[in-house]
Amino acid sequence: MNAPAPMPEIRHYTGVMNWLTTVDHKKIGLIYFWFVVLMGLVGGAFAGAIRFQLASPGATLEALQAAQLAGTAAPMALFNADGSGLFGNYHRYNEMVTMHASVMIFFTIIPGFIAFANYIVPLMIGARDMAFPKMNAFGVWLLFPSAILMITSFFVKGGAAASGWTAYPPLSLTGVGDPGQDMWVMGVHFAGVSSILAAINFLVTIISLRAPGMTWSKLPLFVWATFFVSIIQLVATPVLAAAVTMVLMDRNFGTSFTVASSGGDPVLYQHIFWFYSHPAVYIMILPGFGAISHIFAAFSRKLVFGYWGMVIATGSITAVGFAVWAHHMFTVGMPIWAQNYFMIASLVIAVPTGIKVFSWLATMWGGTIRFTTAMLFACGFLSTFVIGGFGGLILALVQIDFSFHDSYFVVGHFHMVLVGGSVMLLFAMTYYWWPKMSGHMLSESVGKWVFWLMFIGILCTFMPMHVSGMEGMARRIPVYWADFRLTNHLTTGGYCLTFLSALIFFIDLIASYRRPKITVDDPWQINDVQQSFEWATSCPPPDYNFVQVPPIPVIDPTGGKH
Amino acid sequence: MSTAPIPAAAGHPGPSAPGHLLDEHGNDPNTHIPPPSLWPLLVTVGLTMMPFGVVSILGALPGWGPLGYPLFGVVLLLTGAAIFVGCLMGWCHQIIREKPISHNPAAQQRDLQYFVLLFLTGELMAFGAVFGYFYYRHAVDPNFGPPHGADFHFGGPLVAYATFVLLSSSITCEIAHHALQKHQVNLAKFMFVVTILLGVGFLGCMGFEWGEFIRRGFYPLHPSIADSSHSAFAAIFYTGTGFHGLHVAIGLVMLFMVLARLQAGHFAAHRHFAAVAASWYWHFVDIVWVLLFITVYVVG
Repeated sequence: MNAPAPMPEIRHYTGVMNWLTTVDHKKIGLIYFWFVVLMGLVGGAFAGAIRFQLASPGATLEALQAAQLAGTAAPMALFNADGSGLFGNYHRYNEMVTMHASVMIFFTIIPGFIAFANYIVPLMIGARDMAFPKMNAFGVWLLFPSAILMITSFFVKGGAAASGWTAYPPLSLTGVGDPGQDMWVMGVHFAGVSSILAAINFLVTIISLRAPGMTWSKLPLFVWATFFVSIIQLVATPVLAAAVTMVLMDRNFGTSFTVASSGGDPVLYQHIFWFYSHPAVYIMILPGFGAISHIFAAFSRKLVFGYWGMVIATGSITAVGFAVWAHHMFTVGMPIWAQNYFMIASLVIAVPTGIKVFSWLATMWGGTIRFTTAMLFACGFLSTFVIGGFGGLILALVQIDFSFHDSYFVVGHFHMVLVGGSVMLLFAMTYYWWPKMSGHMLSESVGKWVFWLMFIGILCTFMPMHVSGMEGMARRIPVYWADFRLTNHLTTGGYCLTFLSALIFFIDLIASYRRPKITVDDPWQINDVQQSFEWATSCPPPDYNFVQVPPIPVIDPTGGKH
Repeated sequence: MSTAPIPAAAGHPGPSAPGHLLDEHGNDPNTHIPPPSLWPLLVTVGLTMMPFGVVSILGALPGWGPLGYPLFGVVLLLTGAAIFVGCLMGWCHQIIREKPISHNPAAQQRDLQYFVLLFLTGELMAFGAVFGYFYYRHAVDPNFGPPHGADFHFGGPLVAYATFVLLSSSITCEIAHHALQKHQVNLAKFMFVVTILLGVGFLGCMGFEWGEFIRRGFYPLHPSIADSSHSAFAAIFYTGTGFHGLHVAIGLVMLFMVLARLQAGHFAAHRHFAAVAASWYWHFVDIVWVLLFITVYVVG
């Protein structure tokens, strides 16, 4: 590669100002990344508070039973109905549940994939930066007021939002005058604007800034996935903003959008909310689907099996994903034809998802597999995600959903796809791309510990939840009958393993900066097979990414030769 | 695969001899990266202050030091708004100032046009939620609509005038845009002024209509309709027309800035993206109004 000529800068910034003024997609990607790591730990700590509360059956429901049975006193609880717990009363528990979900969804998983897309997509398409670099910076900065609003709302009068991340009215209309719920809504607005701007930026970047020769039929699958996800974000997020704005207005401006006695309709709120939030589920998984294809291919030393099948499957999940939202709310009452339609449409989603799963298996088939940590996380993702997916199939069946709705079965299902799916994907992507992003390797031996602890932890946390739910344990309730003691003990133990592995990972992430710099472009030694542009520049890439598009002969990802 | 000639990285098709040819500004096209900017962060700082100002005004932050005093909340809100607006203008100014150093103006113009189209798609979805709400309630609730009283009449000639005014403004805006393409600057200026006046006229009509409705008791919390479906209709009426009116106001600001830049001689016959964006935005606002008019006044 030719030595770059020194570039006359317009203005030099150093140190902190270099980061505060940056419009470089790589630095912005890293800001996203560290924001996400931090928020992941915060959200994980909130989950810890929830699990601590549920570690024992609780003080009220259990009190009589426990006295009758064994005479054991309930252990210390974080929340008690009379406010005697460590964190006060059960209202705090509701706040904790709400904020755990909000932090994990809006500040961890969604921006987590945006972090990688920000860093990797311009590299993959051979661009120098995103199409709108300043707007890109604006997008990441907007997450900070959003997070500040939500987290500081714990300390205002009346406490944080406590109506769940779905903010269903009329529950979210209670406590008018206490600003927690309003601050939550404004936080969602900021996160939404950030999300829309990022989506527009990715779309224009992918449409317009592809290097000469990087045609649509050669586009890496991660770029395809980012493209489709950006469409979802662009089209669905304004609808979420509209839904939460209805709550904001009903609370503060005397409107009656969701007040049934004044001609409003709380169920319609749910429809509008899930019109966003079901596609949002795909925002939280599809980019990882794209990335994991690269990881499977790279560590099997093969090309991705069924390139076009993967692209079309991603596209059809995007399209059908907009038409299945009401399976979140079968029990609110809707016509039989609507129930049938939403059931069938939801089941149809399994077809493209199945195509992807089998294509990944076929990618590995006959390959020279190297079980690096990234590959372990990819394989672990495949198994946990398929379990979660089957849970989804069960819940999509109307008749069964009527029994399982708002039980721990639902909680187990969506955690299995979000933690077993999205979070595993994020870990796989981190182990795969961190050398490129930081210029330092993560420890492979520590990584194996992280993986196995997390894999066992996830199974141990969320599988028993399914059992609790089938036995009838309701979600969002801080106390439960002693019959659910065993499954809840398992869940709490699994949580501890998962959080421990996340902490080990966090320490290793920081420690990685002390390891020697990577001197090669392609530390995994995969680019002779994979031919992806991000491995054709240094680790980390220079500010301008490439002096020229790297002169590697691009293998047709569909398998054909030039 | 042959290795020569090697194409330059995307978006910056400079000379392909690597790293040696500098352009007239002393930049190497092959390693040119966009200059840094503090404005996005400053705009965010302004945006962060505003909601805390509002919460403080509501008196919900006791024990938060100065934030416990509503008066401080007012200061915070206004300061935040001032920082937001000021820094947004600083941001725009930086973009305008950097225009000469961009390497591929044609590609940049095309990207900006994509941006506007995609942004309007998002806007359309936000209005779509309003329409979705309206038609769903209209379908399931026969009482969903305006109240019919002796002294209250929904609709009427005023809104028809308003519609006519807004539709005309779309035509004048288009004439201005065409004049700009032919570099008839004076005609363009005149037509932009006419467009702005018509837009202000539309807002005036709607403001008068709102005032009249509120005076006659058509608002969600008025005792005569608070407990009926008319209340939800009033909510969607004011939200829909208010959200649209906000867009008209933003469009007016954009048109005004276009006019100011036209006065400053910023635009060329082939390169006047801000004018294109403002006119597209204006047409969008117009189309949404037609849909909204049909929805609220004709169907409702």
